[in-house]
Amino acid sequence: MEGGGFAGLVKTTEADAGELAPADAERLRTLVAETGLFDLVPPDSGAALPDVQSYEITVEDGGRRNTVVLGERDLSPGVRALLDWVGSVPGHHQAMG
Amino acid sequence: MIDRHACHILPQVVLLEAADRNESLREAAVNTLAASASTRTQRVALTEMVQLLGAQAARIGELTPAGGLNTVYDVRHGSWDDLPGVRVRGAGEPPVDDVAVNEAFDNAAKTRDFYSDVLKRDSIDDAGMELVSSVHFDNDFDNAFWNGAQMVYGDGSGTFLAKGSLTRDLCVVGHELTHGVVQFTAGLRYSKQSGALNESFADALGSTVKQWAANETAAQADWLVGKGILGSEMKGVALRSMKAPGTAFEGDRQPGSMRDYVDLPDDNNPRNDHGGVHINSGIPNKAFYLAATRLGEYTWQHAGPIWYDALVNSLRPNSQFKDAAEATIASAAKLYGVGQDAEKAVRAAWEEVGVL
Repeated sequence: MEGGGFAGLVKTTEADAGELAPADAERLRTLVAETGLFDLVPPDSGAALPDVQSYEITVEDGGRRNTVVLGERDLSPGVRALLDWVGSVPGHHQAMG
Repeated sequence: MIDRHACHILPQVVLLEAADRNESLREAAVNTLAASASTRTQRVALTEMVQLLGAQAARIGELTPAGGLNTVYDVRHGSWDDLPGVRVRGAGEPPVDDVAVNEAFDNAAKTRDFYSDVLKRDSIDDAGMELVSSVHFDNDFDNAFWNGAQMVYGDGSGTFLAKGSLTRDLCVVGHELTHGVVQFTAGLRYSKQSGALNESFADALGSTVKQWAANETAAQADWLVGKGILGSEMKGVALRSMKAPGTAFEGDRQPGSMRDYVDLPDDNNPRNDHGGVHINSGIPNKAFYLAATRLGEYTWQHAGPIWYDALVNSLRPNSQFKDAAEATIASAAKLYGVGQDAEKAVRAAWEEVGVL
């Protein structure tokens, strides 16, 4: 889920491995594993900058679950790649709010 | 993130502090810093200095190299750490084969001209700071922002925001550049009411730029921010309406009166938008619209200069809606006479939206 941008909109994007093609589901697990999101502790993002978005990211696998909030400048290349991929993979869901 | 760049930032701060005590040392220090200020690492460091220095943020402009006054970069779908990207067009150079680059360039130039001709302000920092824009940020990115040192534009996904729309609208470019002006003047803290004022000044002066460029009167203007930039999944005409907050699109939550103020926490939850800065800005936005239309003729002749004078001379990082009301009334009296129509119109506008 992302918000705080110029448009003032909140956007939620979801991808469930169970609803993806087998190869995509595998790719999702690999991308999530590469980000280390299950164990990530967000850095202190400092004072807010105008119109810069922040992202609430939840990863879930079996009994494991973690939610972090990251500012635009704190997204690692791996997390950025995951968000881009989730937003474009066939079978993902996206909605306002 | 700040620790990673501390080695770059600290010597600069020390240099500036030393420079404060000695005029010739100061000049030498600024020249030294300016020599490499356009490299990527320096730019990232500059952004972080903005946050570290807080009230001293206005010093950043002194570090930008002189010469190229308006430069557009292509970040080639990279992210924050890739900014600004590859330089594609600078001042005095002809258009290139990329619409987004040319739009970002032209709209930045128009905004700079507006500030210079109408408000007598020399660029963002009033000291000729280079305007830096990066286009093609990330992939299908639905946002534009001021990162503390430069403007950044996504391409739009097509569903939420229209593809190619973010550089096209002069009002959006004027909005982002005005965030820069706010940073170098009042420094309004981006949280709750002071944050909503930061947003509202960006909308108000962004709209004034648009009206000035189109030579429209306050009565002729549409008072829309982001007209025509909504994507296929959005129903409406624009992102915000200053004339009728809350009516720009289906789901627009902006109030136009203190009666409907949306009290949200500034709690790091992206849903809460730093305490509703893009939501409650509807209230001061409506006050600006009311003042401008009551003052008549062109917004840039009266309402724009009044709001700008308050921003530059009176408001502070923690200013609230009431402070903005009092400051703009005082500026109207200062610019157009005590007890004159301008002062009365500005007061009436804030009273109508319930701030006074």
